[in-house]
Amino acid sequence: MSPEVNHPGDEADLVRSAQVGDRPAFSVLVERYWDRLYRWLCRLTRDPAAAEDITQETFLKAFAAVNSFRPGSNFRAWLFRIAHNNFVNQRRAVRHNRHPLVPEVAEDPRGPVGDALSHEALRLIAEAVAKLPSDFRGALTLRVEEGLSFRDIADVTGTTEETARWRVFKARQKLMAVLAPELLPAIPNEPTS
Amino acid sequence: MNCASARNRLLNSPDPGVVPDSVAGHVAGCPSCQAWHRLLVQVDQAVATAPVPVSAGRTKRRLVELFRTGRTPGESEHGIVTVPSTVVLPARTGLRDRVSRYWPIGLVAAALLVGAIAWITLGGKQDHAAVAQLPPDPFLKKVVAAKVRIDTADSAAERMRAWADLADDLREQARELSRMTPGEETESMESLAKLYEQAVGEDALVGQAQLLADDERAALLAKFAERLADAEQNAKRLLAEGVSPGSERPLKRIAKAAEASKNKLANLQRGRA
Repeated sequence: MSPEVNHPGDEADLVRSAQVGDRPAFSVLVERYWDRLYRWLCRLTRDPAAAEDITQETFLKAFAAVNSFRPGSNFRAWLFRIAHNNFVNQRRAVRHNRHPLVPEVAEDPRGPVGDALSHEALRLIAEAVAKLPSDFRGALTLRVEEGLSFRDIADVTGTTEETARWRVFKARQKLMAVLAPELLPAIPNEPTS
Repeated sequence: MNCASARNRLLNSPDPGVVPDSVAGHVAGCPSCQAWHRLLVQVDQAVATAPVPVSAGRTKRRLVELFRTGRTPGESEHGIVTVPSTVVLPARTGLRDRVSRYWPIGLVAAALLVGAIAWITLGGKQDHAAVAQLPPDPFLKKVVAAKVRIDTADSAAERMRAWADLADDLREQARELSRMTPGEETESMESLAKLYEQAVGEDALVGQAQLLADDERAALLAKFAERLADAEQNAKRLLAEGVSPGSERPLKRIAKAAEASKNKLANLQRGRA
């Protein structure tokens, strides 16, 4: 889950200010959410340049449409929904070259996960994630990285809560189907007792 | 409980780090599932913390600065720009690349082309006063508004409505253009037909219809199918009345796309995906 902490009250003030045309207030929201949005879009597009373009477009559209944001609802989910729509539009239009994120993952296994899993394991995971359908990959990363609820994931991706839950389930299932035989080869499949 | 059902319950948990009570007993007595569960948690964490390529941050800085001061970094005070709703910052990539990557931008380009052709053609027929009274380009405004509406929609139903409205605008524009001077409209008509096909196709109207819940399908699909049937009939009627040679093929494409999407909606209504 994301280690970042939001300040809902502060955020609501910023959104309200943006709704009456306060651009500097919106710039604070851009700073707050740019990196998170870019990371998620990187995972979806597997193309940093496209991710950056879509991130920029998302904020411009969000500002243009900020008056349609309903106070009290989840601004982050609203922003990610605009990003998701932009991503879907972009994906329709083009089949561009993708740059797998695998090498960087393999070279940079930091923190407790990096300590627990070998470089090889992290490379396998990154490869498996890259092969997931983008709908599954997007839902899984919204869940595990952004910590969004299934309800919010459904809002972002324009589906039902049940579909969002199913996509996360299928993403994990597909990953484990690929990874378990590689990383857990010697363990028997049934209880010993 | 066997391993398969225990693992499915773990996969279905919002947070696999927390073992649901219903499977805790099984996992505690099954080394295989313990190892599998440990890996599941590690995979989740690895996905959450996997690095992405670092951005140089110039685009972010430029955008933040634009919102904060109304200027992009390095721009003089004399070069103050505002942030209107449709502003687009200079892209790192070329215009041609961006047009091909974002269909709505392509759509805007097509709208401009259509507007320009209409302007030239109508201008040739009317006096200067009449031309001066023409609106700047209402079609382009509609396209931009549709783009924002689609991208900020709350639900599949709302996106469907936006796509259907856009499709109607496209075919209306095609209808008007088909009456213009023969030969001048061909390229624009082809663009409009292509965009119409996209707007009612699998990635737009029909695609959103597939995302509707059962009750929404029952309430909405017949209306949208009716609109598509109207579009099909209108295009066929125009063809029967006679249009310029350059408009024939695009109108046939519009009629065919409307018919195909209408049939797909009908299938969805009957419960066949």
